[in-house]
Amino acid sequence: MRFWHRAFWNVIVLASTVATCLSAYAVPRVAAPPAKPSQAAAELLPGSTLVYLEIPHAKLLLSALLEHPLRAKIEATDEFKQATSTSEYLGFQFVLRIVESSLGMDWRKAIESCSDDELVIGYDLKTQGAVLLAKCHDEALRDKVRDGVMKLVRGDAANKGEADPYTPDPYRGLTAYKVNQGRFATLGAWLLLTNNTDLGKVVIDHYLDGGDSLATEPSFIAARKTSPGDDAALAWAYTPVASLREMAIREHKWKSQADNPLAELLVGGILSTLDKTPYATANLSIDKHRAKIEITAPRQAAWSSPARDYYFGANGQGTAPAPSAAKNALASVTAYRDLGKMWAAAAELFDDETQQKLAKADTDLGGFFQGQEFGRDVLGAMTPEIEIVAARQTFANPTAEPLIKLPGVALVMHLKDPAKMQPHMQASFQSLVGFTNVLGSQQGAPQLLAETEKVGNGKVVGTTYLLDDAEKVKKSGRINYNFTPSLGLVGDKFILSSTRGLAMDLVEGAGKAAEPPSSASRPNTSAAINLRILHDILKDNRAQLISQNMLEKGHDKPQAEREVKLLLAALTWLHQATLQLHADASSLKLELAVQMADE
Amino acid sequence: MSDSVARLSLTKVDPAWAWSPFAASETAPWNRAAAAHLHRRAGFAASFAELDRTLKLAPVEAVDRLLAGGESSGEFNQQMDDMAASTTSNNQPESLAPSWLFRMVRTPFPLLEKLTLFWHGHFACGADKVTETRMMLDQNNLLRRGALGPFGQLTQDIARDAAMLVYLDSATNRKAHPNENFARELMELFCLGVGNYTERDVQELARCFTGWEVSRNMFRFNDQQHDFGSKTILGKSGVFDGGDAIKIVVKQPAAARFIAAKLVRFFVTDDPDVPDSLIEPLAVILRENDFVISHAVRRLLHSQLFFSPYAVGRKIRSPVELAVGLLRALDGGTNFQTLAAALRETNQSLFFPPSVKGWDGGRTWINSSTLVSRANLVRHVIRDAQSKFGGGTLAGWADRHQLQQPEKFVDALAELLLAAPLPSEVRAQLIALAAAPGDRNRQLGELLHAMSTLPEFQLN
Repeated sequence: MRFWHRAFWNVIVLASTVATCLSAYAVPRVAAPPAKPSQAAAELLPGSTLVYLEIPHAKLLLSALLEHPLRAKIEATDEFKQATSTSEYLGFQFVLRIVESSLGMDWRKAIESCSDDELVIGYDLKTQGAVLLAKCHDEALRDKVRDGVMKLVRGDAANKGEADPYTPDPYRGLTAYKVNQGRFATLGAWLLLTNNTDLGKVVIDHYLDGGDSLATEPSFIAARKTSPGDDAALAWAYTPVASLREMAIREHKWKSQADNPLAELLVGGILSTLDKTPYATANLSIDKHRAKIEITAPRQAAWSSPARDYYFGANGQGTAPAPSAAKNALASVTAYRDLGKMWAAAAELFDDETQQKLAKADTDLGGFFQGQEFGRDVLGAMTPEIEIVAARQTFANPTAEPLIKLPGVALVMHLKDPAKMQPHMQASFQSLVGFTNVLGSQQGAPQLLAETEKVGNGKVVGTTYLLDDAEKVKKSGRINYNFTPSLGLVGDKFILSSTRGLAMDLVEGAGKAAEPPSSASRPNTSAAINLRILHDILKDNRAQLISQNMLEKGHDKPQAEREVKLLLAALTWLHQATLQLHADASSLKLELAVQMADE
Repeated sequence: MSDSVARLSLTKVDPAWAWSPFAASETAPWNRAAAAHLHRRAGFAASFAELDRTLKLAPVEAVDRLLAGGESSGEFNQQMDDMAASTTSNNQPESLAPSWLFRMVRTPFPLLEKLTLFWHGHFACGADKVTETRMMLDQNNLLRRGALGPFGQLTQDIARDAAMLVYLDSATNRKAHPNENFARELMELFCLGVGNYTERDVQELARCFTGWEVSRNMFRFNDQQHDFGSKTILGKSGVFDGGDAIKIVVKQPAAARFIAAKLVRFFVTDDPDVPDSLIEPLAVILRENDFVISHAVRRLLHSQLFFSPYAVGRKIRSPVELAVGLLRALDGGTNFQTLAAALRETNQSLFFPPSVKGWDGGRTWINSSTLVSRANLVRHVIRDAQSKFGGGTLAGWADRHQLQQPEKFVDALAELLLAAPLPSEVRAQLIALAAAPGDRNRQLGELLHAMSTLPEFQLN
């Protein structure tokens, strides 16, 4: 009895939830307006629209998501099977079947029939309201869906002794309805749903009267010209950055300075574009091999101050180097950044406090570099090509194996004058190892031994641990054993690595890097993460992940093991994630992509 | 606490009756309340399932079961050892407490964890001074291994424990300048108590431990720094080293009395006036059984005194008992990292005792400030996003135990969590709170929080 009582309760709750959601598509059109030629959604939205998201073919998006090969993999997991065998899920399915039965079609077809032509979501700055516009080519089918859902929702309310959830709210001869906090109406082929009465009226006014709208905004017209077309993207979005900027400036929230050297290095160039650009657009595309979002904003080289030459190069054409070859590479970030120039332009890029910190760092770090000025003499001795590489470690010494196994990380830079700078770099590195040993000995940390080895055409000043009590070392599993700081020098490359193994790999692999594409198609910044290697690293740390899960979520071990197993399985479905920042004479483009693993 | 209970005085209790085996009677029945009392004291608290299992046993069998630990406790301990070890790699001593709390909540051998907590307060070492996480974990494991065994061996082990050597400055105890810290605490706090030794004994004892050092986080005997001369300790003379000295100290008649008294205060009553006559029979048990702790604990937990009004509700719950007991009683789990952080606000931060004396306990747990932090601790356990009761919500837990009616829910919580009966007017108020309209899960959480602020909830 208890089970049936609970199941009945779940059915009622879920029925109410589903019906309310679907009711957004159920629109009684009591008083039909005169037939009008179909308008574009942008013609119905106000010029003050801050976010415009268009899904040209909802059916295609649904298809891309529901028929994606990943779906089968997710459904094959024990966790999915477990989730779909709960009484709550079975109750949900039961209600869904009732709804589908009353509609005479399955839920997917019902949704597609109400939004098969176009689906647009907008957010208006002036009214602070959101609106959804769905265009349907088969109004009769949509009305059938509407009637079915209306009947269910009203029946459910009547059974609970509640009032009719639909309250008529007519406006200019059109019948609109209130449902909870929402309003909806039909405008010919369009279904309008909004959370804001004023915005709803604006849309209806545009529908009936036409006039200035988002479609007549110059920046929208310009953005529209860059739209890839119906078949190229599943979704297209637009935002007038100028309006956002004005709002932020009014609220004193706009900053064109990062005031943080790391943030400046990462997004300084993007900030200089956002400072002037009129709008930005985004495209989403999904196929069975990858999902990609491209965000584009108009750009002019003249918008960047000379202080930000370090970011894009003097003529705005600075490009990232090709990534180095490393075994078990987890991630790489390559970028064009002239650190020496950034340091020199600190007065224009940073506030007083940050400048003081940089000045202090210049003095302190100079001590490691034989008294040279860190910004001018050390960073200034590097070319603008920067790379950070991370790679999975294999621990050659089973004794000095840490419990938590971190990837090795290396900074790869190029020296303008290798013959002059290499001895300085080697001496500075040796000082650093000595300094680390002095600090470590005070805290009982293991000591590092530094040795120089010739590797291929270069050399590695690598460190290893001085270990004299193998059992004790093994038992401790110190996190320190992840780090065997090393220096690699090969050609004009200067490699500062957290591990000896990665330094050796990078020196050995120098010259084996993939041939870079022509500079015209090379990005300013590029980042990639190999999710298969990430999977392997997490697997190396499986025991720690399970412990962490148990302590953070209070799970027992089998439950924690299941969650970690699912995480690891999910990573095998994906191949890599990439991010690229491209800058050319007219635009700045940020491209994010996730590639699926091969079957 | 009612006046009649407050007037109970242990000075007039007959020791023979006190330590005779518990015999259930009409006035002292073996029922759910008695079983819940046993679990609260010998562990942290029992769930309904544990209470049901316990009541199928005779009291002596229930005590023996608690002393033996549940099935699969060996496998569980291995899991927990691995988990604790995994938290040491970044050398943050604060990261040890969550895994110990997890262990307390989930262990099939709660008495072992309770005694480990007892020894953690007895042989108190603070990670604020030791700083090496691995040393603190090794000590915790040492206390667990020796918790129920011979006290003499445990003391020998703790004297060679790296964390203790660092904490009490033995690591710098040289023959030219003996450091008396460890020697003094060995007699004053660990084995004998004040008044059972002289300053001369402290000085001589310190000489025995010269050269006991720490090297690479492990005990090392440095013979170059050890004083090999003759010493006189507690009336015995000879060329004693540290091991010999501990044997002499532990053989003192006062040692068994000292440990027995601490066990009585920990398991039976916070009453500071427990007469020696009541302690002595337990001390005899220790002396006659090679000072094996489990013998005394068994006698203590299966005694008339333990189940009498002299013991029931005569202790104040420590914050750890409060949080762990709540979770165990309600089949709960939570984010143990944030729980450990919340415990730090209640003056019982595991691995960070306030001094070498450990936590004073008893009435010192309660003052105007800690009352608030104890209630906040309970609120934290109830409200944390990761908190689950029987794998779900508090309302779900209540449903599974058929406690949909507010009266049943209040009475069930009182049975599981309270050592003293709820006054009828308070019970009525709690029932009204449980029956109030609104989100049921939230209401039940509010009720539990309200209950945690009651004086009855602070008692054990």
